[in-house]
Amino acid sequence: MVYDGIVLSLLIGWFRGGSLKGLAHMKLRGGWLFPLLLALQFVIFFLQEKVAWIAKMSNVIFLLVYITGLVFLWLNRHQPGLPVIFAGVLLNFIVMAANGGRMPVSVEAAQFLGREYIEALKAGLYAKHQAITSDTLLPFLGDIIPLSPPYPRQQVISIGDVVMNVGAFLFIQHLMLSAPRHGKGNAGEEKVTASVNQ
Amino acid sequence: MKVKVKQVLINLFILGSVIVALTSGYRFGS
Repeated sequence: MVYDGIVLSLLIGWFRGGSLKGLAHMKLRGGWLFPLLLALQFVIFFLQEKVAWIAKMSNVIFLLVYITGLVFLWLNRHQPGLPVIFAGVLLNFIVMAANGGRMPVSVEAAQFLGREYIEALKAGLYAKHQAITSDTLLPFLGDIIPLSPPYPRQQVISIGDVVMNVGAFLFIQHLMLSAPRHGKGNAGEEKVTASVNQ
Repeated sequence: MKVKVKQVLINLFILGSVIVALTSGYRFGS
């Protein structure tokens, strides 16, 4: 579900006659910041077992990452789909903030991932997640939706994740369908090529 | 044209970063 929504959006946008060229016109204020936020989370993930203070502060850092992300998404709220992405991130942030900076995960919903993941979850080995217990606040906003087989990429996701992907879908559709077309260009020809290839 | 392809790829990377960085799906800590 992480990037599946983007791939699906690109495919649907293409079948609707949109063009990938439209993505060249995407303008996000502070867009450069999001890869940095992602990189920061990878750094935490890989260093949390080696550096004590990073492990200790990881929940605070995750919350700061989400706050920063929310601020920059808000700055881009005038773009189609971005308010929906903002709402999804806000839902994730609310439940994480209510639970000490960790995303609660339903052990029941995660069963299909295997024992290794369940044990890691209960042991708190993954800094961004923790198992839902009776003390968890707003558990319905946690990772409670299993994406199990036949879905190809098994995960447990939250309502916020679903909302985010809907927002990304709307944004990509807007970009692809508003792509400037020159002459007989792109989408029509692409459709013909696709049908020939099939 | 090449510049446009590069810009599309950069923007896809940024959009992907938005989703990956702020999503919460549980698999291996992502």
